[in-house]
Order: sequence, then structure tokens, then C-alpha cells
Amino acid sequence: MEWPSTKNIPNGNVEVVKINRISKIALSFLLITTAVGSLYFGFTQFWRQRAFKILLPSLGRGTTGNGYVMATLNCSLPEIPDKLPFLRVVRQDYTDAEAKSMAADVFEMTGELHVTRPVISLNGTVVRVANGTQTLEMYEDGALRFMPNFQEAGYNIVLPELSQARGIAGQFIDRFLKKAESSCLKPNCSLQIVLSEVDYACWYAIEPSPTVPVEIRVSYRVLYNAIPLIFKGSFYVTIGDSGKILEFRCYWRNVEPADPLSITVTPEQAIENMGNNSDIVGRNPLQVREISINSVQLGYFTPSPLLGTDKFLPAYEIMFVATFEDGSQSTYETYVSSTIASIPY
Amino acid sequence: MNLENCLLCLALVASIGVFQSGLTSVYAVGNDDSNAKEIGAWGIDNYSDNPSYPPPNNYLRYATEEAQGFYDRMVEKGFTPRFGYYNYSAWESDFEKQSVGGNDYIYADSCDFVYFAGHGWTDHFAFGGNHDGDGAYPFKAYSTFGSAEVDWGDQDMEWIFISASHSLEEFPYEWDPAFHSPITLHGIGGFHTGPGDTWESSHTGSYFVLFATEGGESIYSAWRDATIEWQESGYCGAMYSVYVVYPPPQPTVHYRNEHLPGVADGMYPDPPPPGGVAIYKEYTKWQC
Repeated sequence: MEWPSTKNIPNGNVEVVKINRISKIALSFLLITTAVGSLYFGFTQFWRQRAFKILLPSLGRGTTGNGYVMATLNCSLPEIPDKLPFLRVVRQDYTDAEAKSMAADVFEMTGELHVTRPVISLNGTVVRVANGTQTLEMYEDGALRFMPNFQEAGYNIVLPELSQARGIAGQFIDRFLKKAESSCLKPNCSLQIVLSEVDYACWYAIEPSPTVPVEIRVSYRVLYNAIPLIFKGSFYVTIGDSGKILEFRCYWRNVEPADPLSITVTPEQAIENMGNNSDIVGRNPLQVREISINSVQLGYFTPSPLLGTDKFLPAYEIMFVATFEDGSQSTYETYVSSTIASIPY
Repeated sequence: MNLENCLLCLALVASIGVFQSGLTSVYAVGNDDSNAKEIGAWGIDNYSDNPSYPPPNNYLRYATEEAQGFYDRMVEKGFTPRFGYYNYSAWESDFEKQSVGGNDYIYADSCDFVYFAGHGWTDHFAFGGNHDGDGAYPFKAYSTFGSAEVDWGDQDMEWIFISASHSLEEFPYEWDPAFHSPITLHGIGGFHTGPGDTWESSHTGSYFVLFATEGGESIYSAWRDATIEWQESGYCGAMYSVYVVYPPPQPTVHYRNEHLPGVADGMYPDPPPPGGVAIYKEYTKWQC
């Protein structure tokens, strides 16, 4: 079938033109693409345009007159199980000999190794192995911190590209995991390590010179049964001048599944109640105009190993951007329990 | 020796004493380093009388707990408690210089280490009551380039930690005049963004002390680690500190690398008077 079309020509006559075969195919492709695209965006707009009213008891200053602020959801919400076991922390102590052995075998620390147990945690023991230039700290719950190099921040620092930093960190982690496999440093549970972010993490300036980045952080998420350890359960490598590794903060934990807990709070309820849980924009005194939620994830709330917590409970991690009265925006994260138990936040 | 000569001797001794104290005061008036371990903490949760924070935004939850954590832990580690003032006992005039009606020489600047937790912004930190010496900036200890109510270090202050929103934003010109001239304040710890106001974040003050004492860390490392451990990762901690470049072969001195008194090699002597050295303030911020 020939599809006639028309076009205006300068002298005012109308000329009938015929579309050739290639044009028809192209037009059909365009129409189908547009239709599919419309359907897709139509559906995604469904959750994109979802809005929540969040009561901010300590930030209601002029928001809508009643202490509420509108939040727009820019992401999908997680599907949640009916029940999820909480994680019980399995503690272990290290003898001086074990600590030295791990420092030497896994982290290749050489020279005379000194073991101390500084009381930097109010709720547990930290074992520190040092050789004068390098330090390894081991916590009872399996978390580790290794500081192989010191860097004095300044303008003379040459950082690798972010992609190179990712490679450097990857190699370091692979090597660490291989060596840790045969040591008691490796948690007895099955954990997954997934790259999450590569970005600058420390900056330096002397007025009036510009601020320059002096450290790169390559961050990883630690997952237990595909559920991330959120808050302070991450894993990162800090890279400085010429690609040197400054710090490896390995906050994985030695855990075992315990009793299943009913997930009683839906993601929607968590969003609606997030303002009640804590002061979600910290001590920022500016009035919040609106909130844009970019991520809602179910995870295990994992505090700093210094807290000596004995269990990690299921909770939501909500990442959002707050727009303030002066038009400025800042990114925040907040945590809401997904069960009847409260989290130490 | 007759009475006249005795009087003359006494007068001479007295005048030398006065003259000497006058000379030293050129550098640092009353800089009392006989006890380098005096501390003070100020924390405010209740802002209900401050018109900048009308209800329901007039209460923080964990600021006093955070400041008190610093105070208690420092005292436990052998530091000398001078002031622990919270809510209505915490006055802005405690931080303000005498020329604007303040009493910092009696309070904040008579302490070597000071901690403030509460509301604030890039150019001030805020108080619950109005105790402004001259009425210029009520409810605030205010500092901006060219107009500051604060002038720290001419007495005792070596370090101050301001746990308030954006207290040390990028290029903190605002806090430049806070350093007494010639410089004797060693540095300011604070936040580029943040801090939080959660139970977790309330540990920041006490763990700074633990890291800086038991942990043997420098003041920079201890502040940095305290913010990384206890604040959300979206926030940035910051430090503004003095950096002195001496003529070679003497090494440069980064005051942020000094330790609390009694830890490792302790504190560095105050920066030298100007002349022959270059004195800078360096700024570092980090992701928590």
C-alpha cells in the first residue's frame, strides 16, 4: 500500500508525494519506539511522582504551617520479606601471637611488631599491632582497620585517576581476600563484597589557593545473604599520593543468623515516619522546603565496631536530597527500623 | 642600706616585673601555659528563646550530651575542668572578646581546649539565651572577615571544636579573625557539612578524647576518626589549623599533628611571633 503525503511548495500548489519503503520502515520504527517509550515513562512516572507527607517535628519551621514537608519518591521501593533473621555478632579475641601472625601473614607487616590493647572502645577490646610506620587494628566483632602509609596533606600530592584508583583498590582487596581466606580474620559467614563508589574523600587548601583533592576513597558494600550491612558496615580503601594505600577500613563482621523478626514497617511507612526517628538533616538550621528520595533499601543496621553491639537489626536506609529555604540542596541519609525493635541510631 | 635605697630597689624590681610582663603581653597577653590542660564545654539543646529557631525547630536532641561527653572524658583523662555550661548556662558572651562586652578572657579563652555543640552556621554558633555584650549580634558568637566578636588565643585557648552546622565551610574566611594576632590559637575543629543530631553522633566528643588519649592519635587524626566513626557518611568533617614554615633546615610545623598534653610528644610551642617565618592556616575537610 502506498501512503500519500503532502507538502507545501513555494508557489502554493500542493504536491502529492509518495513515501518510499525505507521511510515507511523508519516511520514505523519511530512510532513503535515512541509508544513503548511512552508506556515505560508512563509507568516509571507512576513512582516518580509519588509523594509523601513527612512530619518533621524539629524542622517544621514554616514548611507547610503544620510541620509537614513534601517528599517526592525518585526510586522504586524494595520488596520486603515477611520475616528476616537478625544477625548475632560472634566475638573472638586474639592472642598477641595471633595478632602478630595476622599482621605479618595477611598484611605483610615487617620489622618488630608491638601489640597493645588501647581502650579506644568503651564496650570491647581492640587489638593494635604496630611496627612504627604501619598499624593494624582488630576488633572483637571481626572488623579491621589497616593503615600502611601516612600522608601529610598538601599541594604536592599527585592522585591517580579515579579509574586507576579503582584498579589499585581492587588489586589490594583481591590480595587481602586471598590471604585472609586461610586466616581467622575471615568471617565464618558468607559475605559478598560489592563495589559501590569511587570518589574523592579528602581535600586540602591554604587560602587563597584553591581546594584540591588529596585522597580517593573506593567504597564497597558488604552483603549478608544479599542484604547490605548499612551505616558503618562498609568496606573502603583510601588512596593517596602516587596511588599509595593510606587506609583499609574493613568493617565487615563475624555474624550468624538468629531468630527471624517480623518486618512490621513497610518502606512507605518508613518514609512517612522518618522525620520522627531522628533529626534527619542534622543540625542544619535552615528550613526544609522539600525532600527528594533517591534510594530506599532494606539492610542490617551496623553501628561502628567501637559500640560493641551484639546484634544487627533489619532497618531501612533512606538516601534523600533536602532542598532548603535558600534554594541550597544537600544529600542526607537516615535510618528507620523495619521491625518493632529500635535500632541504636 | 638606708630606707631610700631600699625603696629604690623595690621600685626597680617592681618596674622590671611590670616592664617584663608588658613585653610578654605584646606577644600573648596573659597566655597562661602553667596549666595546659584546662578544658571547657558548652552545649545547647534548648533554643526556645532564640527567635531564629521558632517552634517546633527550637530543640536539638543530643548537643548537650555530645559536649558533656567531651567534658566527662577529658576530666577522666586528667584534664582540669573549668566550665561545663549547658543550655541557659551557656552564654555567647563566654566566647566574645572584651571590646564587644564579652568575657572570653574569663571563660572560653581561659581554657586550653574548648568544645561547643549546638546550632550554628558558617559565621557563628548560636545560643539559647541573649547575652550579647554590645547587642550587635544577639544569640550568636559571630565572626566574619572584618567584623568579629571573637578573638581567641590571647589568653589560653589552643584548640576549639565547633560541632555546629557548616561551622567550617570551605575557605572559612569567617573564622580568620577568631585567631588572635599574633597567632596563638593552634586550630579549630568543625564540620564542612553536618553534624548529625542523633544518638550515634552524640559520641563524637567523647570518642575524640578517647582517640587522642588512649589511642595516642594526633589532634587531627582523633577529630577525623571521631567524625568518621560517629557521623553519617554524607557529612564532611573539617579542620582549620596553623602551619608554620621556618627557614631551612628547620622542619615545617603543622599544628594539627600535635597531640594532647601528656600524649606522645605533646603540644608544640605556640607559633613564633611574625618575622623570619611564614605562618599560614591550612584547611582540610574529609568525608565522614
